Amino acid sequence: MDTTLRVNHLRVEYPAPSEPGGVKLAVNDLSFEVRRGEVFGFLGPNGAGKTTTMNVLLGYVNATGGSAELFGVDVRQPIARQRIGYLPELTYYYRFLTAEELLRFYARIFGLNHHTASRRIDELLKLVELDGVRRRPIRTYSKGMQQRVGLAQALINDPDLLLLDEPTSGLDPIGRMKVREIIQRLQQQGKTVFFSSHELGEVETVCNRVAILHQGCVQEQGHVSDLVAKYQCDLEQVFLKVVGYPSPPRHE
Amino acid sequence: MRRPALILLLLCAGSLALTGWVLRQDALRGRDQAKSALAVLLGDGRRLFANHFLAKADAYFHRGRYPSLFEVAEKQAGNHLVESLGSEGGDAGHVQGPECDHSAGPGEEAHAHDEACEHAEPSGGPDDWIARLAARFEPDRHVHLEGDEDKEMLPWVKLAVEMDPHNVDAYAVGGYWLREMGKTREAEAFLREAQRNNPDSCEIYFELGRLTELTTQDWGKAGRLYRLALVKWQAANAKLEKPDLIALAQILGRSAKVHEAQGEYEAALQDYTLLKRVSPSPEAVQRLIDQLQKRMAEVRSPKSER
Amino acid sequence: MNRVFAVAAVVIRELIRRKDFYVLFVLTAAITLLMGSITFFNEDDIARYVKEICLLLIWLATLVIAVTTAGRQLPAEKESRTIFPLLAKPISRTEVLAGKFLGCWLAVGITLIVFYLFFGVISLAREHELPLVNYLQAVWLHWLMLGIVAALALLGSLLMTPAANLSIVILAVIGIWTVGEFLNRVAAKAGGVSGWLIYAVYYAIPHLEIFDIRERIIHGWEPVPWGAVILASGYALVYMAMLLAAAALLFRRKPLT
Repeated sequence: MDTTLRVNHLRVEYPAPSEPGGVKLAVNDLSFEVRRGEVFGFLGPNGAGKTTTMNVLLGYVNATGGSAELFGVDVRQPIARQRIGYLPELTYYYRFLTAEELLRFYARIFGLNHHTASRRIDELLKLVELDGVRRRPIRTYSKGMQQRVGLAQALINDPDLLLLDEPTSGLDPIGRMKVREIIQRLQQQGKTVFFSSHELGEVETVCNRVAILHQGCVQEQGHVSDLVAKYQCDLEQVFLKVVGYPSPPRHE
Repeated sequence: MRRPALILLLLCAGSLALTGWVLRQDALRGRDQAKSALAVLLGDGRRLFANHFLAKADAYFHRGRYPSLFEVAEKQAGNHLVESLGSEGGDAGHVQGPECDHSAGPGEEAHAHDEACEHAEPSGGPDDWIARLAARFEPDRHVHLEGDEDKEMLPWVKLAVEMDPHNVDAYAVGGYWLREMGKTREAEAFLREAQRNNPDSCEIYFELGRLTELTTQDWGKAGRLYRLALVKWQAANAKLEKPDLIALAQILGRSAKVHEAQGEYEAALQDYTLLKRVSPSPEAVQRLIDQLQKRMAEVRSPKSER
Repeated sequence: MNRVFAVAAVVIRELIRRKDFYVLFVLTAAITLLMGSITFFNEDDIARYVKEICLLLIWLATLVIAVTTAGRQLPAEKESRTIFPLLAKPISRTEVLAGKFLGCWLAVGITLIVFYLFFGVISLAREHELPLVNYLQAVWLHWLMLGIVAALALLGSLLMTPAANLSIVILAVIGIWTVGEFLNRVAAKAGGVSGWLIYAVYYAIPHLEIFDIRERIIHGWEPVPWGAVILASGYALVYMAMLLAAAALLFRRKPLT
């Protein structure tokens, strides 16, 4: 199976005058791979290094050591992001643009021609049910509508790898269901999804494999079914055990 | 837009708009309210604006050629005061000239403008490639307004006196140019306003005298105005260490001319004699005295022959 | 290059949809018309003073537009976090910066055209003539000058807070505009080490006053020789390139998080 995403001995340090040595180690010797067609869950408590890893993958932060590749291209090269879609946790879009203008802008960044861009925009706006308000400025949208614009922009280039950062946080149940549907549809199309979340139930539902991070290192990774079998409990309990949190007493 | 810039711009725009509004009110309703509004708005900064506007009028006279503070300072060594206007001929109507000598004696060309008025020439600063490049974008020749272009200076003169009604130079300049443009009614009104605002100014009386002399040829009235100008000059300069001799020379010169025109040769001779003492070119004044004495002799001799 | 143009188009769209430009244009027009309606000494066809006021307002308004538009681009991207989805696309930070600059410069160019059209109408109404070549030179040189200002504001936005950047860039521009050309004289007078230092500043600063040909168009001088215009264009482009290169270096190293 092809490797879509590879992280190899990744190390990320931040300057932190209050820390001993003046640096904070956010990610330490992190290694994992995501294969083509997988839905990969990236789990960990707050401060585990998930966001830092995501920032490295998106080129926002340069690694102090190790490497990260998307489709075999170093993430520091902008072209590495040609085949990815990214949905941030919260919506951050140009509020003076309409949904259609925003999608056309991103389509231009991906180098789509006008015809292809128009076709994709029509498809996506229908998919996220914003077709009727496509010419309204984003600032007039509700929070849920803005999240759906975010989803549409993440798919504008028909990505082979979708990076989702807490994709269902802030969404109502229908929105969550919609996201789940889209993830499953992408998986059926052979696309890869890299999925960072705290919603362990959701992760268990949609992910093939997971990696559990703690204090900047991968503590455990594997197929969800294998982990559940290994620890003899559900994914939530696995997570708590891996990060060293005492399990709640079982009520028989 | 960030707030400080917006505030800055709104302040600039507001000041300009208010100035415009005040001027308009002034034109429509009378002056007193307008003046007080400007005073409240700008305080003592009015004088700075007034001087700037008068310098602007000077720049307009030279079609945009504008002496910088640095150029003025470089050329000012050994130079003189802001002069009153009024000498005849040549470029006597030069707007303002800390560097221009308009003080030549009467009967001569006021001054050879092109030699004396150097401030409008591109100055000879350091010659580097940036300065050479910049010079190609500026008005680079010494030229003056022509024909009815003179009117273009008037707004700045008017704005100068609106800003500072005690700016005598601005009134004198305006009076001169209005007279030159044949706007005698406006010139008189402007100078009368100047007189109300500056009752002790010899320059204004002198300008009024010039206006009377040139427009009505009422020598008697002009003479009275020159005498008043002399009285004001004496009051203002009597106790000064360095009295304004240029202004005195101009008044005496014109006063002598008016006496001469009226046939009052003795009085004219008296003025010329005083003028010779204060003029920067006493030889020229002596020539005028010689001419006058010759004429006096001619007048006397037919009587004696009779 | 398409990516750079895409970013630039968003900047232009933003300027068109913001109220700043319209407010400034209306203020400029209103003040010019108000000042133009005043009659001095019963002369009702005085033109140059109205042209002067109109041009001064145009210079101030476009300076504010250039500095605020360029100065807010990167901080606003960071503050509203729109930079994150943008950089998650195949676009480099240098391209983002170039697009932001190009957008600001083109947007300012559009505002200049609108302002100078108004100036042309005022001038035509007052003087009954329209020296097109002079006006084209004025717009071109003004646009070049604002290009330098926009590049300076972009660079400043990576070094300072937005408010500090705005104040310092406006002060620097006005300072250069008014006294920059005299620094060589001051240096010559000062002599010694301070003289050399002042000379260094004189040669380092972009001489914005070169691009100001207001006096020429107010007083109806002949057009600037085209050779000089080409030289000034080269001079401006070199400064823009240097400022943008410095900004790109900084932006590439600047942490976003």
